[in-house]
Amino acid sequence: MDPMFHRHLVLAYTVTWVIQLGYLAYIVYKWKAGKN
Amino acid sequence: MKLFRWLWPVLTIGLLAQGFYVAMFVVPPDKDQGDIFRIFFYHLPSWFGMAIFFAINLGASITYLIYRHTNSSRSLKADALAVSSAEMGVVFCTVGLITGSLWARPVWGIWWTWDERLTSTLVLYLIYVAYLLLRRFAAGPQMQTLAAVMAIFGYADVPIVYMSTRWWRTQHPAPVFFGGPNAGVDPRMMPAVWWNLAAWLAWGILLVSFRYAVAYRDQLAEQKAALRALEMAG
Repeated sequence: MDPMFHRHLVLAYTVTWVIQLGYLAYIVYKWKAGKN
Repeated sequence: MKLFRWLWPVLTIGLLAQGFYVAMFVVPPDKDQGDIFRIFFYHLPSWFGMAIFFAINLGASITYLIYRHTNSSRSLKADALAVSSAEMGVVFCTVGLITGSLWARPVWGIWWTWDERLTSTLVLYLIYVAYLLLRRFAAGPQMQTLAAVMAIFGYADVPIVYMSTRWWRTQHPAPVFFGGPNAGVDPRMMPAVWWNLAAWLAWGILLVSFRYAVAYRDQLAEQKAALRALEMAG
């Protein structure tokens, strides 16, 4: 496979997970902040 | 409700794992684009997620406007759902824009082009970011009313985004669903499309329900604090 194709495929899946898990972390933070 | 609390996350994780496995290891590479086409299996669900959660935001905003003077509890719940679904929609939109750009660079040779589909999507993204900023930096029932009105006007861009590849000759590929005789993907790839659509929608519902609970709890606390302040002033 073209190295750029491989790099961009890995990057796209990684970025998706980082953004989605980042949002989950933000919700957990809001939930914990509201409990105190 | 307790069953949902445990069963839904388990189901979501299972769907996400299956979606990833099918997208990476089961469906064949595209005959023209090769493996880079696999980005599409995360790109498409992001747009479906965005469209669904912005539609929920629209419904919740209208509900808020209808009940804001007559039913405090219902309007608070609608407002909590509006902010939760808007945030989730923006998250999906961010993913869609970035994965699209990562696909475009090796395939088109460019990161971005100002064609109708991409530009109308960017405008939509900016509208909802502005909506969230309004909610973040203003306060009180006036802010909620303004945000609800903004959501209604903002949603007007969604049909434009959807129809842009039909109305104009864009660089963006033809729609996968209802796009005409030459549109769509190879039927052998459809399992990856369906699994990832189900997985990311389940994920979106999970996060929105969690965010909704947090937003509603915070709004109740704010309402209680405001009532207490009024009592003390009186």
